[in-house]
Amino acid sequence: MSTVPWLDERERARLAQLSFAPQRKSAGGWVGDRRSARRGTSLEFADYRNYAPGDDLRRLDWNLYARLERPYLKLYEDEEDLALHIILDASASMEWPLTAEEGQVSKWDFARHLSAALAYIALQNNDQLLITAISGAEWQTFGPYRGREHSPRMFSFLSAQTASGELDWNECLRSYGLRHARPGLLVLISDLLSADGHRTGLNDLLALGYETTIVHTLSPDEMEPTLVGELRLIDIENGSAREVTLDGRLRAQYARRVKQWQEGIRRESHSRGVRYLLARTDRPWLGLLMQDLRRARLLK
Amino acid sequence: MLHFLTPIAFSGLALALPILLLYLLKLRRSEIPVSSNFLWQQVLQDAEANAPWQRLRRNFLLFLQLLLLAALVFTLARPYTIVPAVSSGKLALLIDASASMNATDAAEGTRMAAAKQQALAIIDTMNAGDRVMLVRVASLAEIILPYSNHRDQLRSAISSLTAGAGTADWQSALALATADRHSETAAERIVILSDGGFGEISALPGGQDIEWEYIPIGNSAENVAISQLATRSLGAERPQLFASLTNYGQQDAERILSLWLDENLHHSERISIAAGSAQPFLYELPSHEHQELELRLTVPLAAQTPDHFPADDRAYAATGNSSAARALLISQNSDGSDRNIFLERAISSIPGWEVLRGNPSLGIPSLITDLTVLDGWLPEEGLPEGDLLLIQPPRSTPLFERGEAVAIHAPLRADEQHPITQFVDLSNVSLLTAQEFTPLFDWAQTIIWADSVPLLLAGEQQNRRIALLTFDLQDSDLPLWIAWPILVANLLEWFRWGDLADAEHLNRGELALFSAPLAADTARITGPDGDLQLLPVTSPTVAFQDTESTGLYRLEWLAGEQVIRSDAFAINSFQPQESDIRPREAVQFGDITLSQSETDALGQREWWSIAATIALVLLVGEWWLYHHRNRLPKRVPAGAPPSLRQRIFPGSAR
Repeated sequence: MSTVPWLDERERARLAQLSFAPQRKSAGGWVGDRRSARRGTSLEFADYRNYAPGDDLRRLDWNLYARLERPYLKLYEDEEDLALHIILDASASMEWPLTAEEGQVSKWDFARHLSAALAYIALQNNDQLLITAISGAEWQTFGPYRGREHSPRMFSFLSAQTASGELDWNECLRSYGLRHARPGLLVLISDLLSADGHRTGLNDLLALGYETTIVHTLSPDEMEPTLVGELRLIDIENGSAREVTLDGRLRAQYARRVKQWQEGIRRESHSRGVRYLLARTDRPWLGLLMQDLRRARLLK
Repeated sequence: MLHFLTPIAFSGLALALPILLLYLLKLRRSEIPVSSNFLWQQVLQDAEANAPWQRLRRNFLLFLQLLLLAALVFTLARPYTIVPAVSSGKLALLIDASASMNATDAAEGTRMAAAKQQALAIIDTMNAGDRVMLVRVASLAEIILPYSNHRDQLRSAISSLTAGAGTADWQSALALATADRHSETAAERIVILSDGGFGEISALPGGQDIEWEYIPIGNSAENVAISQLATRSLGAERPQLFASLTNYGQQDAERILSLWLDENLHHSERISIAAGSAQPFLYELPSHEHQELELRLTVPLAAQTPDHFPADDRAYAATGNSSAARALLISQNSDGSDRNIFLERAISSIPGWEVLRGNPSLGIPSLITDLTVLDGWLPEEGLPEGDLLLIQPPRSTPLFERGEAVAIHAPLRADEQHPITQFVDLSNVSLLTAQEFTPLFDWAQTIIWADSVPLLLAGEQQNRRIALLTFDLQDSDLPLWIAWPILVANLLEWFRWGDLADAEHLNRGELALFSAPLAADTARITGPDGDLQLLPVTSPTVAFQDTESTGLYRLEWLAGEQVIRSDAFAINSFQPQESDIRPREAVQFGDITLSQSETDALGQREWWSIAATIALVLLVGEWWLYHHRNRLPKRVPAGAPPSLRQRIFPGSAR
């Protein structure tokens, strides 16, 4: 598959002004631009603590010891890089609509655009970037990388991905958390159309210290379907079929159900300190990024 | 109660079974891919939409199809109700189209419209095997549609009927309807739709086997008509207009009578006419100069009685026609003198007449004259050409035989209908003797007589008019009475028959005859609506038959391009039989009285057309719904459903 230039010049210029704004101080593996949760070696003073045997004597505040005759250790901010994890849902349901009409964007393209933009921001800011596209049992990973020179490869990686198969988010998120030692900022881009949900997987991630953002990608016709008549609905993920006589009443019922479901996810996310954003594919992805993600304080 | 002509059609309802089965067994669904069934599943669990009965309940299309089937079966079964009907078997429908059918007293507008409504109602209740013939009875009786059971044809033929302008010819119409009554075409039943006014029909034609029915049309008699209009000039006096206004209604009527001279309103007055009576109207016209005269009757705004028949509210007359006529008078009295002063004065006092006196000893001069008056004298060479007024001729001629002189003792009697004796009062006239004259063949009519002795004979022979007075004026006091100048004026007017003197008697549709001036080669006639007609003059008399419109006509005689004489004449519509619009509940034909019968015949009113309309509406609804409900989202490739699943999941079994 040829590489899609996911971002044009104008978009890159706008994205270059943005950076991630993690709410929690993270503990990165590399010395970076961000303050680390660890007290470290930078010049910026952070705090004092009592000396404990074995501490590095070089860090002892001798002036304080002279005045108080007690050994205190001087703590400095440790400056580390940020780790950005992007988990991209590459299940078959993301490839929707099957044939996009003029002006319509498939969820899959929308999600990849968004990923490309977030990844671009991360690479620009010298943050550690890890993109994982999960489709069925197959995981495709990009990274971890730092530095803007990785942008072209990142674009190529995204272009090469295809959406297929079915996902169990609980299992996927749990094993993702276990697989990666260094938690950080995690952005999950998915339609969350999974019968088993994602609650336990998300719990695992949170327990491991990931600062999580869910970008819930849905196509407008998934929220308000226009289908009418005697239909046999075939799930493109698993091929299961449902026979339905669709009329206005049932359509309204469905729309209500979707609303409830999406609202439930939002409430639950917020209650756990997880950012939640509904991304309808009929909205421009750049708008979502520049407005909604900034308002949610993922970006600044 | 509803009956069915073809109840076998109900077996078609069995088709509902296969329809239901098809729906239950195989509900053809379009296969549509969705991103996930996960949410649909939750919705459908609530709806339980897949239960078979639910499926049927929700399937409005199936419901519509079953309804459509029912409507179609109902249509094919041809439902009908039994209704009282006029028609049964072969029916001749005679619809009066005389002028009075234009009367506006019917709720439907005109009487004609009411009659059409009745006729359509008869057609609606036709039985399946009935056949109807349609006869329009106007001044001609014509078969509009021969026996037919085609309702649409009959309806459209009835709808196209219009009332005419003349009197209905019922004699011919009845003959038409009963003709051939032993043949296939014979009517079994004859229905007359009319407002009455059948004229002189003494008996109904046809035998006992024909059923008759009369359906009266119209409900009011209110009409005031101008029933007569004439102008007359006596001597040097100003011309007089005489009109007769008749109120045919049952209430006294108020009307505004207006007189228009040459299209200018000259006189207007409010008159009141008692119910059922006629009222004369006399008016002295200002001068001879006016040619065109119109009399109009209008209903005052606050009038209590309406006028349902406007056609007779206008009448026209033409006066003051030019061209003096010339009368050659040759007298030879018993005393030897050759002058008859009474006659000479009487003729010369009539406007438009010029008297030329001849000498019996010189014979007939070679002059062109309009009338030759031979008083007590006949030329040796026989009767001269042209119109003749003969007064006691001295001998027999090929026209008549002279008999003996008879003493008259009885009072004089006159045929009052004849134009010569109109307004002539002979009751005081006495006569000494008269000569007996017998016409040798049937050319003359006795106009005045006393005791079976003819005193005035008049008639036509070989395109000329001849009047014969059988007594010497000197033997009578007639010239001393007012009757004398009136008689002479009437006589002269009668002699000007080929001229325009008769114009006021011309009725619509009648043939008008004019005698052409000698030099004229063409007659140009302008009708009231401006139509021009050119008639070539090939004989001394020109006939004009296009007199269908009432109003004033202008007649110009042309010699080459030049107009040598210009006259006017009027065509009126004085039809007392039509103006009398009184509706007749029953009509009498000899000893048979026809009235609207309470018929016990029954007809069938079919309702299949309504069922068919419902079926059509259902079909359109079903079609619309089918397309509307199956309008698939455009993202689904056309024709994809059967292979879609395989396309998405290659290798999966259907």
